[in-house]
Amino acid sequence: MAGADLSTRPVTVEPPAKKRRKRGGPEKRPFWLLAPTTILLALIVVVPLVLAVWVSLLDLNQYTLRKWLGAPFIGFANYTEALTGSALGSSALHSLWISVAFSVLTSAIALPLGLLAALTVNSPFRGRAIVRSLYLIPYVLPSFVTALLWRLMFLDKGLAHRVLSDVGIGGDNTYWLLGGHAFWALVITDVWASWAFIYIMALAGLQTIPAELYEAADIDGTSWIAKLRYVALPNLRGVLGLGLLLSLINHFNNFTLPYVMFGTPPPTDVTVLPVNVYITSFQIFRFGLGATMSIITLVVMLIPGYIYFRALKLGSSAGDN
Amino acid sequence: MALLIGFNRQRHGRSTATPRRRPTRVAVVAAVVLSLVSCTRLGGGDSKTIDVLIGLNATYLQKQQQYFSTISKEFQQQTGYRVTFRTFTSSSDEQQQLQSAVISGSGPDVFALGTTFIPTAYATGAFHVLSDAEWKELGGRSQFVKQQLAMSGPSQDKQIGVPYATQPFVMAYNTEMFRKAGISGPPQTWTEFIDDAKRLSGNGVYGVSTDPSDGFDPWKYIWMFTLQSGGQLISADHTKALLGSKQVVDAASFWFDWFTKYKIVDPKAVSWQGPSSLSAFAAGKSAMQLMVSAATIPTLDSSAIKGKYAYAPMPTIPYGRTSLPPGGKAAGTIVSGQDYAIAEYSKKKDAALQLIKFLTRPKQQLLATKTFGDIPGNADAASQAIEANPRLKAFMAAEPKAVPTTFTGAWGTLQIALGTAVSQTLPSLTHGSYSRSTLASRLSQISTQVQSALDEQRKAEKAAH
Repeated sequence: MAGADLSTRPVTVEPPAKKRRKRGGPEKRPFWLLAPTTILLALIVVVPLVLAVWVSLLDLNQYTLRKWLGAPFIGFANYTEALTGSALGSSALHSLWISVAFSVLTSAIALPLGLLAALTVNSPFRGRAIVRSLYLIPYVLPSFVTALLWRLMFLDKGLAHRVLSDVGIGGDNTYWLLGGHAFWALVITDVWASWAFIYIMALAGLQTIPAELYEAADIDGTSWIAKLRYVALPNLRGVLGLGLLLSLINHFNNFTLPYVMFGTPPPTDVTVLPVNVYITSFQIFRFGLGATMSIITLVVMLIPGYIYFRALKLGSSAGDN
Repeated sequence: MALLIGFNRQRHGRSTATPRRRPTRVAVVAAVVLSLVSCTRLGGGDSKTIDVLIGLNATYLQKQQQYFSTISKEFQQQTGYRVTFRTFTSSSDEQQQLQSAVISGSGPDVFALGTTFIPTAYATGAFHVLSDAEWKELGGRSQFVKQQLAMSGPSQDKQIGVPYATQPFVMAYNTEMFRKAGISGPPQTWTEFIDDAKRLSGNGVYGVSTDPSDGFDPWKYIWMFTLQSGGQLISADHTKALLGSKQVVDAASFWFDWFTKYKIVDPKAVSWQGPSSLSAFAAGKSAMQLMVSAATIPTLDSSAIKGKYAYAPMPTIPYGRTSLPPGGKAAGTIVSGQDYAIAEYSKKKDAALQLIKFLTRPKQQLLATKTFGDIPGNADAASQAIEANPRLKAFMAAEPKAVPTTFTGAWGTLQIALGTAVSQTLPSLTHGSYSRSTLASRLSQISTQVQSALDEQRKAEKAAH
């Protein structure tokens, strides 16, 4: 039928279009070559995403898992439950708040630390390579090792416990792995584990700043602070912005650190959204509810994602102009 | 770019591009489909291979591989079937593999499952219910440790699990400290336990180590004290959550009183998980350690208290009493162990059954005991194992006092909910006290959540009928 329709359709060949085709204009490139990538993307991203949305609308649990396509459709009931409460005792809304606070705090603390570290090894000095290597230790350590080490260090007589006591934060009777303190233990651990990421980004950015700019500043007799403020930071804005956005996303999605440090069920103050999703899906077997929480995570993650792509677009437009 | 231009030129040089492009498109789609099909078949194995999913034994990593190799070789000689053992490293890994298998209907033929997970596995309907004929083929139910069969299924005609390891929980105590304190033996009642622990506490040593921040143990303590005092966490007909009952509040209170009232536990233990607690006992910083299995033997044998410790069943008479109250159960431990279960989707159920029969014979069971230290699920093999290693006697003495946990798919929710209630109470324990009314309120709250899980199960059962 379609063929018949096409055959009866008047075919007009526009001379200008023909002309463009001969020139091999961008609109006529063989985009079908992208098919394998498109198919793979669809399989890896689109299909699971659609499935997750669908599962979030089902009452999918251990009883219905085997014939999951026939699980009862319950509309937005999972969303209502996720935002009001769950079997764990922490609603997705509570976990969302914990995750956002944790993500923003760790990123905000890790950013200046990473930048400062990058500045310390930006200029050549004897042993710089060794210092640079040492700075990378937190970044190369597997997350679960970091979590185990810090768990031990936060226990009574642990290094972190003693150091914090010595500087007047907490005391002998402070239990860093319990209650509200657990949140700060998680923040401290994650800052330690993640500042090196900002350091790498910042150092890469610093290396691209032309030496002439610093020389000009030196001729003007500017101070170190002024050079940082008027030369380095403006040139690092893009890199640090990207680092901050990626940090926010990474911290928000951090599952290993709270999971290994506190186990399950964790203290309420560290029940971040990924841990809540894990417990809901794999320990109490409410797969529908778990999928709902994942969708909520995705929606929240779209915010920094949107900002990032918008910034990229603006940067690209500015470049074109 | 050059490649793109090249393709462009070629394309424009043809007058009929569509028929030429079609085979390429078909080939791309076919390749993707074939890849997917082959991916889904990866889990199935060939027709002469039986896949088994079992936990990785991190303590005996190399020995486990040798054990797998021996089993596979011997079984292949007998039946012609090769056995492939796949291992999971954590409970999350196990869950992911198990759930993938349940959803896709392909994967391992045999799963090694912990007894507390069997109710959830049963609820999925993805495991083969063994018939009387199949039990007969396995040698009959009577050849297995009796208590372990209670967690094989909701009733005798709906059993999915075949016991292969018995892992009751007992207490370990420091014999030297007991001797020095003039205590003749392990406590038989919780009153004796508290008295002994008080006498043993002092000079930086505490009467007992415990682990309220652990992910697995808290509910076991509360369950044990509740049952001994005549209460239940879930009603006998599996319809009501009773976590807000007086017995449950008393049970949780008794445990927390070790910290606040009796002061027999290191106050720092509020943030301890199992390994920290065992480590304190192994270092001689406490005289007793509860809720331990035979898996602790290698750790304690390589510790400062080697040769100075022994195991004994945990007391069963509630605190302040000399006998069980009406309705009280002498629950010394949960029924704990490991079972083999056959996947319902397996095309090789007969061979899988033969493999389980082979693995649960005394010879292979004793090989497993020799390798990993577990007490067999086979009753004869268990007796032989105890004769060979008298230290296991205390574990088998605790086994008759093993009481099965409620066989319900809501048990996972109950474990997490109880753990949450305990976790929320711990910060107040650090101040040396806790509010009983707040604890009661928390337990009532989680009872409502467990009730929802029970209702969900009833709904599912109704739908299944």
